[in-house]
Amino acid sequence: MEKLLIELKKIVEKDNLYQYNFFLYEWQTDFLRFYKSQSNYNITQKRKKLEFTMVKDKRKFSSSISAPTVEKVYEKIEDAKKVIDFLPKDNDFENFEDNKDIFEYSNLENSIKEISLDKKINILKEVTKVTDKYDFEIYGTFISLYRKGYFLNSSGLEKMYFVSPVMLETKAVSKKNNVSVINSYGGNDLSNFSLEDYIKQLELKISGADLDIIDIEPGKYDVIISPQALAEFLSHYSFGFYGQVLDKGRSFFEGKMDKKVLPDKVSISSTPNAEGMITYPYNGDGHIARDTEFIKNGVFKNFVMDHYYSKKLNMEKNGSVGVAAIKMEKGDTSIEDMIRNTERGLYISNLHYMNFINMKETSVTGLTRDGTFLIENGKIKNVVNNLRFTEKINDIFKNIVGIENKLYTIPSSSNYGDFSISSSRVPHIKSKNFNISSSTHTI
Amino acid sequence: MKKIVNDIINRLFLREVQFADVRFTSSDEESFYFERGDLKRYNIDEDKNALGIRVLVNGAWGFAGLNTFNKGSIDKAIKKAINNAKHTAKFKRNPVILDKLDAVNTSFIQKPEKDPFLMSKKNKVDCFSQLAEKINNLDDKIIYNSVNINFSRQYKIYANTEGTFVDTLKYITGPKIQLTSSNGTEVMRRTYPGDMNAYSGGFEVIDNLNFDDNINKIYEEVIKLLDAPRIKEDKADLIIGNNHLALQIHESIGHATEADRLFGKEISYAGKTFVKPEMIGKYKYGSDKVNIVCDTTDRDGIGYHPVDDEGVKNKKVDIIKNGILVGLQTSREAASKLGIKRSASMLANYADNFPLIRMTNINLLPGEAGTLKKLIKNTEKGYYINFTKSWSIDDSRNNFQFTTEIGWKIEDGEITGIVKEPTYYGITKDFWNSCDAICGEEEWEYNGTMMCGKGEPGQGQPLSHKTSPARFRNVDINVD
Repeated sequence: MEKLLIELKKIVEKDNLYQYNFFLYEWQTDFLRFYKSQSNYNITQKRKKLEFTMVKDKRKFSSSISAPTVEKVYEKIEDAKKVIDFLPKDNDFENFEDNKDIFEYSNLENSIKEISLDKKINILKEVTKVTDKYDFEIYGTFISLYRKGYFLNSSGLEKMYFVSPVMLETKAVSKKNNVSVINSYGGNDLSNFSLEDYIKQLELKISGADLDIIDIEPGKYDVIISPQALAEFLSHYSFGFYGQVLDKGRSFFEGKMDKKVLPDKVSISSTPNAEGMITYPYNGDGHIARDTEFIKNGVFKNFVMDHYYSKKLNMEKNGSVGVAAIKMEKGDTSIEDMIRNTERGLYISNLHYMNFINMKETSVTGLTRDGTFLIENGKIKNVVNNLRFTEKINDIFKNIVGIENKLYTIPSSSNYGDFSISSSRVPHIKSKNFNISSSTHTI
Repeated sequence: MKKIVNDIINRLFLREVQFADVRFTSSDEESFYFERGDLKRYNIDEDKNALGIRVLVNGAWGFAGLNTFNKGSIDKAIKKAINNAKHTAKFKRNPVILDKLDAVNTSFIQKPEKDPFLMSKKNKVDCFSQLAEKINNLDDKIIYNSVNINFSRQYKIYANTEGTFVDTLKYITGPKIQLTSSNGTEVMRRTYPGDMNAYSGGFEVIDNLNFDDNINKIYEEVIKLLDAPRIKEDKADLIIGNNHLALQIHESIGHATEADRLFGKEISYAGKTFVKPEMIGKYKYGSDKVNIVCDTTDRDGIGYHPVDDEGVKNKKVDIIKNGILVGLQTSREAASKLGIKRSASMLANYADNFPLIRMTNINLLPGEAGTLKKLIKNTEKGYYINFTKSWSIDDSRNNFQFTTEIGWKIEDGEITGIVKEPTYYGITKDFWNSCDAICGEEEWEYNGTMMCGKGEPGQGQPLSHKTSPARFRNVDINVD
């Protein structure tokens, strides 16, 4: 790696006919997947890759090199030089990211070295002892990741980062009636993980899942949305925050800067440096990750503006990592009070297969999953079959009547080809008039 | 590489290893992306090599995948795979049992009519630049337009400890153009050939799609959609065109009949299925017009292969016959547990990923309703819909809701206008039982995707579906 980095620096410094942007990274994961309270498979995966973009007079060419070596890099650069002169210009391109701020690390461990397979299996065995008691089986993943990357470019960027997050997600499924519940842990390491608390939370959820299963009619309901489900709604809502989406004419927030879009009590931001978040040192261009307010007391304040779109849209760049560290501010009510003050409504634990019908309008359809409950007269009365909703996400937040006074870390793993683990910090919320459009009639 | 793969297999003949397989893939990918006439991204990802070693030890799977090969890294990967399997076994209740299979030794090298990787890069750039220029500046109401072209080829070696050794080279091409219109309040889009835009073959795929004529067609449609009405009825008869029907099959039959979902192996992420083992041979999944096959022998489809990624020889397996569920997509382990035919469906997108049960060519056999024109003529009232815009299905693959980009109103066998964002929903069994007509072989064609997501770590698998347009009666189309 070091030898390669020295060569990349040489290329950037000496070859002034072209501009270069290099992103060199390697990652390794130990990925334990389990089902029916037993291992499905244990995977170790390791990848090393160099992505580079070459520019000459606004003509851009990019290439990826798997398992890069010095020889391969020079070969691909020579290939790129043969191509670049006949490419049409990208008139919106000015130059590469030039933010020089360096992220200051506190202590981060290599989670793969820290968490052995034996340790993972022991944790799962302890969880299984409890779920067996209730006749539930566990399904899920226990992931350790170590990722190291380097940004180098002709605008003077030269940065290194590493992250090593951990994620444990457990679904407990009843052998009796297939009702499932979900619990997860995510962090930079296991230092905030308490096996006792994790098991207690799971046990509490399991104990609520022993109620009779019913179907409900489609219609408008008061809903209490769990942090897990809220993180997913926020992730979809956040698409509209991105400069790229604004540029394509698909952002709900187009023309709404400094305008009131939600009630006063709603504030949404991206806070990669907040307590409890998984570390995200830089955005994809290598700009240091900065906190960004998107909605402050109901007023829309900022887009995620990276280097390219800031130039193209003539807006200030902000180093936001957007959805990778999304946070909703806590409110002033407890989850117990939210349930107690609900005459008739639903508790939604998790979502499945949500997709936009129309992104510009924030309209989506999706399903509930892993425990949907009917609340009547302030008490959880029944498990409900999974439901389909068809709603505008903006309306869900506009109709908020309560926000919990506590935040939870919800980890999320993106592992298609490339690999990352990010997190959200979110409370429970209560919203009224939520549109249930049909029932699946199944759990 | 053949020698390296052979050497690794030879090192895995160990007393503790019950079965092992080794895969090597070398992939080349080339993509072009134009936005509003400008080339925003031209990317080449060549010689993307990957190696995967999978072992069965003590009745449990272990796996190691890597993309840097030398003696040291391969030694480590072998040890790691065996160590992973031993640890899997420590938290295992039911051991994996594999039936022994005969060895297969063969080779398949696809030869596209026009190999995109041998063509001049300049010619490709010029060709797509012209396309991008053509769709740019069409109208002020077009607020966004794009041209997206992907070429890929993958060379794969598969070998196992049963003596199977197979190598393949396959090509896939995925082109798409998109126009987005706005009148200031609403935003509509039209794509061509649609979201299911991947096809087996090389540059000839682009030639055959006739982009020039279709640009004008979708341009007219995307402008008209801004002022088009929405469907008002609660229920209607729907004729579904091939591009969207491929997705309907994919979501409500393809994923539902993956046997790993029956055993709960995907519950933690992709979900389960309403299908139960006892339904095989009895369950009336659809009307008697509905016949679905899993066909890995058809070379025209993306899902062709001589053997799958655990050494099962290719075959054509009935999944639904005359409306009855008769088979599933299986792994060796699942087929033997269920006592049904193996379907050669275990695949990994790259060699450093763990193989899973994946769709290959999951095809709806043609019916007797003739051409699409004839089927529309024979429909008194309803809508012809096509080109997926939004899709969603529950984790048992039971309740779905889809929106297409456009619909055409049918009255007395004639198209009388268009509708915007037609949305319908249903329960899988009821929906497929409402199918009363399927067009004939003259309309039978493949549409596919380069990226069907499944598994953890996630894998985007290319696959395809061959369909003819079909009619469904009395479908729910009001979601408010």
